[in-house]
Amino acid sequence: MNLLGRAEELVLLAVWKLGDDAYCVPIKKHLVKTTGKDWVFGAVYAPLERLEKKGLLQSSLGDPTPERGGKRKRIYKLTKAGVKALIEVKKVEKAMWDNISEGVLEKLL
Amino acid sequence: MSDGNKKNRPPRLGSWLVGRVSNDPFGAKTGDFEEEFRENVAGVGFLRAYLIYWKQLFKSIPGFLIFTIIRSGAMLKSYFKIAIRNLLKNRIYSLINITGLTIGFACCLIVLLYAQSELSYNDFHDKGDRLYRVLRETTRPNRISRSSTAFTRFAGYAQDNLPEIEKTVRITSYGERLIIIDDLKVKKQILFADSTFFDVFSFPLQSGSKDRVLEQPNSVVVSKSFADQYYPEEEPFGKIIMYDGKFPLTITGIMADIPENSDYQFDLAVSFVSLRTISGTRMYDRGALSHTTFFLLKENVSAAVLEEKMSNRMTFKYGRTYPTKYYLQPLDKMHTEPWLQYANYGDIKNIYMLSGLAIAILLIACVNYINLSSSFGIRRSKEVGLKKAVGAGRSMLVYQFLGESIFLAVIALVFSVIAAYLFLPVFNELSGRNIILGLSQGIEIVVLLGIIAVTVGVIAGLYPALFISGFKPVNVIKGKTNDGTSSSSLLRRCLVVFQFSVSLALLIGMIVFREQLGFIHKKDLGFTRENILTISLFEDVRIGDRYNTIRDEFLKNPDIYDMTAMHYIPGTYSGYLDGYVLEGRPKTDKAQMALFHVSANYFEFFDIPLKSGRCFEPGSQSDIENAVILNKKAVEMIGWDNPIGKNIKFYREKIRYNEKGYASSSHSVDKDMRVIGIIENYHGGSLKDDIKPMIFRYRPDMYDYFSLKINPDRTNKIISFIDEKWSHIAPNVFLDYFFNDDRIAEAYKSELRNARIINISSIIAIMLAGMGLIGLLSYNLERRIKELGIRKVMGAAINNLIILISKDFLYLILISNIIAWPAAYFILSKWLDSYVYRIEMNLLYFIEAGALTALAALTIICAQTIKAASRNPVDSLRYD
Repeated sequence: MNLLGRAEELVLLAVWKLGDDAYCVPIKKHLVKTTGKDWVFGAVYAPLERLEKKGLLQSSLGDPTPERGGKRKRIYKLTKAGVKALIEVKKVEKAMWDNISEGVLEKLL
Repeated sequence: MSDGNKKNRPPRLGSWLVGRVSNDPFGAKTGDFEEEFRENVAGVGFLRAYLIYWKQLFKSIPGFLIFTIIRSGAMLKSYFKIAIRNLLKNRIYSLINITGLTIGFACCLIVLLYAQSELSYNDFHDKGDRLYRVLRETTRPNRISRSSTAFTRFAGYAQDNLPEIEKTVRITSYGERLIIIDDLKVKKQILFADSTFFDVFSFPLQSGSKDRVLEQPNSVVVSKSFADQYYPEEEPFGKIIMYDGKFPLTITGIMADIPENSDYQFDLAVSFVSLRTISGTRMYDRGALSHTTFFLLKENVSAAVLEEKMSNRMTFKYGRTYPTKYYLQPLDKMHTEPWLQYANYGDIKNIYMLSGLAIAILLIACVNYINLSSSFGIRRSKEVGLKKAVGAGRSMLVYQFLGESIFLAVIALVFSVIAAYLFLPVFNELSGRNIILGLSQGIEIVVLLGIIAVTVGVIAGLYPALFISGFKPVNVIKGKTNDGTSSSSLLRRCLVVFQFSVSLALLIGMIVFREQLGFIHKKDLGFTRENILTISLFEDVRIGDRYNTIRDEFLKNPDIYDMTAMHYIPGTYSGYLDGYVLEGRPKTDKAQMALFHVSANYFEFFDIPLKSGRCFEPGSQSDIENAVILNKKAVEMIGWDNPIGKNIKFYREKIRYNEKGYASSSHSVDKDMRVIGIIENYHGGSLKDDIKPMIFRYRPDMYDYFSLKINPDRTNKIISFIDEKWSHIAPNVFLDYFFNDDRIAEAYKSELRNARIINISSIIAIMLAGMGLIGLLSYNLERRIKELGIRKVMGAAINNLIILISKDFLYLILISNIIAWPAAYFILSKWLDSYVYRIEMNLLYFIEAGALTALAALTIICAQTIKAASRNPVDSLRYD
């Protein structure tokens, strides 16, 4: 099994959540919101392009809009393999966190 | 609207940058950046948005770049593969190219290291930028004397009268002297220096205070290795060593070993005031000891202004009889601009000469490189054609060829570092230096060479890259390459002519050097120098005084034929001119002659013929007191018809100084001398100097050397005999001996060294040019292989073909000769002018060089042509 990197995982999840509107700007916004960290575009492009190369994402060019200075969007979509990878991630996550009851870790602090 | 739009635009430079560094063919990324920017402008205002934009961009750049590089990696890999395959396929070309460049780079690397080491001399002194050596130029009647030394009182006077000076240091190097440590007798390099020495110069002290160690008379600072060697167990402080076997010195400090790149090399630094005991109170107090003076100037003082001030006799009244001009030489110039020629000093001219040679070799290698890679590229026209046919752009091809060229240059650079490392010992042997290729010195130079390598790669690759990438694919695949265009072949021809001109000039230089040195070697110096063994006496007067008993002792050995003694060995010192008052001439019209102190049988011993009169009578007190012998040159200069019996006054002005150093009064001392004989001229010094007028005195109290004429077959026996006797004669003095011919040859050491360097360079240059010729010829032959095949079929013999091919190249060599001869003539006659006794330029030298080159070229041409022409024409013509 090919485990995803953490950034790849987050980006993949974000693309899926955003549905039809998954191009870089909203993806980044979403990541900033959920992780609370500042993401730069470069840090989003890299996992996006890697995921596309691995065949988990596929991209198409969207329509140009005036707020983008007439440039087109590159919209990403999960492939079947991408969905499978997310399921895999979820499974691993769940298995890893199984049997750890709420608040146990916080007590260790 | 349009206004608002403009304002909301992200910085243009930013957009451009994003498009440039990221892989963004459709502008999607630029668009992302822009969208966010507009959003931010609306949310947090223009300025903040602007800042956020740039922050985003800069943080993203590394990621973009890595991605781009990985993407292009695949293409690079293909280029790399093609380059390696091509190198392996055309082994001879690759070999010539890489070897040539390697040799060129290695020569440059070594020369750069040499130059760096020469220029780094004395650069480690912290106060070096304020340190100056005092030089003076005195204009006397008839001549100008230049000197880097001053007398004892000079430094004190300058310090008192010139407020610009912070400190002064007097230094005098006595060279290797006998030192006795307990019972051990050793020879060590001795330097005498003022107490300010360790403060002004940055020779670090390991123990002892830098202001105090040289304060007291008879104190000495020893080097770390000296201390370790002779006092390994104990503390060396306070230990007493004997200088010259008789003066006790107390160790007061230990200094770190002197760095290699210091002009002053010494094991022991003795306090300057010790000279009062060592040289005698009279000499010291009279201020007649000569030594080098250094000034440490105060901050922000201009040396030029001070020079001016010192040279003006109104502002600087230090005892002067003649107009004197002072110069302050910065410390860092001391090594490369010797004021007086000393054997050990470097010379900026040498650096220039070596750099010139290295550049010449590098240029020849580069020419090879350009020539070969352009012809070598033609063979790849099919590759280029195919690439173009499947859509490669011209720029892509240019990059590919340039990249290959740079790649090859860098490989050569790596090899050259290895080669330089291996050949440095040889160069050190040749140059008499100790240069090392270490990380600390090497790194800067390797970086510099890296730049040179890339530049060479670009220059060498540019022409073929542009030329080959311009091929029309259709023609290429059809087999029509238009490589015969007149412009490209003209360029190649010019380059070949250039190569051969440089090689030829070097070859002529090599021949002229060889002839001149041979001339000097064979030139009769006017005295015997073979089979003479000389013992150096350390200026130890007391041994010289016992000359007669020692002579009797030595001459008992039947293999020692004769013995003499003198102050200077003939052939090593041309003498110092001084004025003498002549009979019947006014005091102001002194004759300038060089004085030599010899023993009675000196002339007979060295086979210097007596022209008239008589020699000194051995043991004659009156001869010692007032007889002189002149050489022919002196008589000619004076113009006496009958010199025997004429009177010469040893007249000297003795200047008295008051305690501040002012010349207070002068009186004269004269001594009447009578000319008793005239001898034939001989060369007292190097053949670079003319013979000076000489005047000889019989002075048994002035002997510095004993010379023995020995049986050359029994040298070893004689040396052990002398050594045995010497331990009785001078039990505490080391026996220091040498052979006169060796010592005289040493005077031409730098010439010999340069000759050897030029020999090697010209051989390398010719080799490289030859290699280039091989490469070019085989290219040429390949192009004409069909023509040759047809000619053969039509009945041409191999020798016809050789003539056909060689005609072209011999014509180029002829042009090279026409260029090289006048250039070599011009440079070499300048060099020969530095010799008083020189060979005349001979047309034969030029013909010899030209013939040698032509012969080498012809050999190559014949070999290659025969190889090509002996191929079966069927093979070459089969495909048409």
